[in-house]
Amino acid sequence: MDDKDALVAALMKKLTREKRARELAEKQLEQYSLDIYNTNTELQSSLLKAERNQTELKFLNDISSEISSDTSINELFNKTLSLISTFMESKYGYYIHVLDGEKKLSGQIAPPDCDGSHASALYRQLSSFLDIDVKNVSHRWLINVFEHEEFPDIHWLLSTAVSIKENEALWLVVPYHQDILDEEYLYVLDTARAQLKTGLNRRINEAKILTRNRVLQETIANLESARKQLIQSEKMASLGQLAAGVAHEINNPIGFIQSNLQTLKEYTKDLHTYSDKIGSAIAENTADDGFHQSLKKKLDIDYIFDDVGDLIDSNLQGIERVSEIVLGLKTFTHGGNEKEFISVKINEVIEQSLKIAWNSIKYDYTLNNELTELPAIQGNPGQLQQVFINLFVNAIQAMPEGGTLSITEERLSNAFIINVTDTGMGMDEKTLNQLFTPFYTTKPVGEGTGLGLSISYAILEAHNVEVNVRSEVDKGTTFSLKFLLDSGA
Amino acid sequence: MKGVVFVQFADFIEENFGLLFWDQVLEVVDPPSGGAYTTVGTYPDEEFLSLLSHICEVKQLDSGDAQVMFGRWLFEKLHAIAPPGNKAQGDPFAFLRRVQDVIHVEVKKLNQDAILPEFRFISETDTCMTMEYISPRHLNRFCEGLILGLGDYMSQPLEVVHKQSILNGDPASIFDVIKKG
Repeated sequence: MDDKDALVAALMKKLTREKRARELAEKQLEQYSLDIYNTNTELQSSLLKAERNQTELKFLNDISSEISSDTSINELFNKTLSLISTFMESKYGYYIHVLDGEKKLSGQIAPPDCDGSHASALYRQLSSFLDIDVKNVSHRWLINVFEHEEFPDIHWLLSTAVSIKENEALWLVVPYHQDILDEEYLYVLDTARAQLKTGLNRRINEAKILTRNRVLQETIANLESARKQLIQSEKMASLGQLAAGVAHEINNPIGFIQSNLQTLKEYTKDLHTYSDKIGSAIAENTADDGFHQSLKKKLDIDYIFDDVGDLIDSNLQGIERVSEIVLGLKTFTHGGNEKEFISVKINEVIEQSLKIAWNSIKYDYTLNNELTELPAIQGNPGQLQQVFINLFVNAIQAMPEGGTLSITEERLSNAFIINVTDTGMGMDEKTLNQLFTPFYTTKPVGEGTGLGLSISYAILEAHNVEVNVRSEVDKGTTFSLKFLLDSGA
Repeated sequence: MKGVVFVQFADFIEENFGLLFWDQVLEVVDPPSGGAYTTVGTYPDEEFLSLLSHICEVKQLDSGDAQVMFGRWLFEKLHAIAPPGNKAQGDPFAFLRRVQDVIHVEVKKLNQDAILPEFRFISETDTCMTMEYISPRHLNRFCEGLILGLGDYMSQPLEVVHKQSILNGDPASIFDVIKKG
């Protein structure tokens, strides 16, 4: 019986323990439920936050895409305004251009059902409400409480501006409809604003670079035209130097042509006398062979007939000589279009150049022209002639005591070289270094322009011709011009 | 220590020594929980150790042997409540590895505060696995019991040889688990 009682008592206690354990377990369960509920709530809020972050990221990403696109400043601001209005779930948005205190509405967002008058009325209200000006540009978004009976659904005005110049700024104004404005939105908007500013600066810089490029291109065009003028002036200056020599050169044939003509005039008189006397003798019937022979001998008619042919030949040669010189001068002075390259026989160019410079050469100098027939090249004959005349004249001027001007050639597989060598005073290193410098001259003031060789160099460069100069003081100078055969110049 | 161990321990004592004995044990030891254990609760280790030590004293049992007995009995109970996919099948050594690599990891996910033993496997042949048992509780013999219970469940008699034990002043606790027969 005692055992039974003890067992019952133990069972009762076990029951109490079990009850207690169940209560504890239930409590624990409730705690678990609460924990789960809390966890769920947290999860939901995290999800909402994640969704919002996603929206914010998408918004910033869209802004970035706009910033990095090639749209104009106006398009950029209109697009950004539209993105911000969508992001802030605003029905309105305004993009205002401020220049010298003048406000101009450059873009606006309005609800699709709005006839425009409502949006315009709101613009009037907010533009008197906000201090939209170039002075009032902050680096953040400005937030103003907005209360107006006509627009009961607008509680805030968000505005920001970026400066373009001291007197010019662009404003964005977005009305906000919610009662409470979350601070986080402002961080996102500030980021968007910073991006917008970067995009604007980039566009302004690009515009500046474009302007600079245009100015540079104009400068280049001006320089090009100045260069052309310079070449022409130099040509004229060289021509001036040559004029005296050329005049002499032309004078010579003209002199002997004149003298020949004088002689021919005398001969004509004699021939007239001869004819008259024979006519009279025939009329008087006194003409016989004796008379005729004696008259011929007296008037030297046989000699006249011989000499007339020689004189006419000599005159024709003289005239030929003059017209050759004139032709050479014409080629030389012809401005032409330097870009127009034609097939040029360099031997002919050198012949023409020698003719023009011949007067200077023929008395005191020996010409040693060893050129054989060279292949044709592409080039401008007038310009090349200018180069060779310049080289020949320089060579002669380097040999005031007389000497030898040699023109020789070297053949390479893809090029040929023409060497113009004088036996003159040569040049020191200083002069050599400055040889192609514009306006550098060793000649007395008033004689050289200092442009000859620099222009020659420019011409040769345009022809893809390599120039090499070797010089030794008191020995002479050699200019080597290397013409490439496949230059295509 | 998780409540499930206490609940099962109460059942084990009742099953082996009767309800009256368990009632008396609680009466004498008077644990803070009052013996009202639930599987969802967690109770101090000391409560388990004082209950165990009192029982050994009354029944004149070696504490280590008692731990082996309880562990061996407990394995099947714990195994029954283990989620599907974590059941013991195939090789017992493979299951031991699975306890360390999968089951303990899963338990930790559900109960971040759970104190779990760590197994480090030193070597393994077809019949012998040498492993280190690392636990701040140092329930080496209880672990032995659970391993023997695993052998019972898989019908593969196992023997656990304690080659080293922190409880004996060794630097680590190292077991040889040997397949018998």
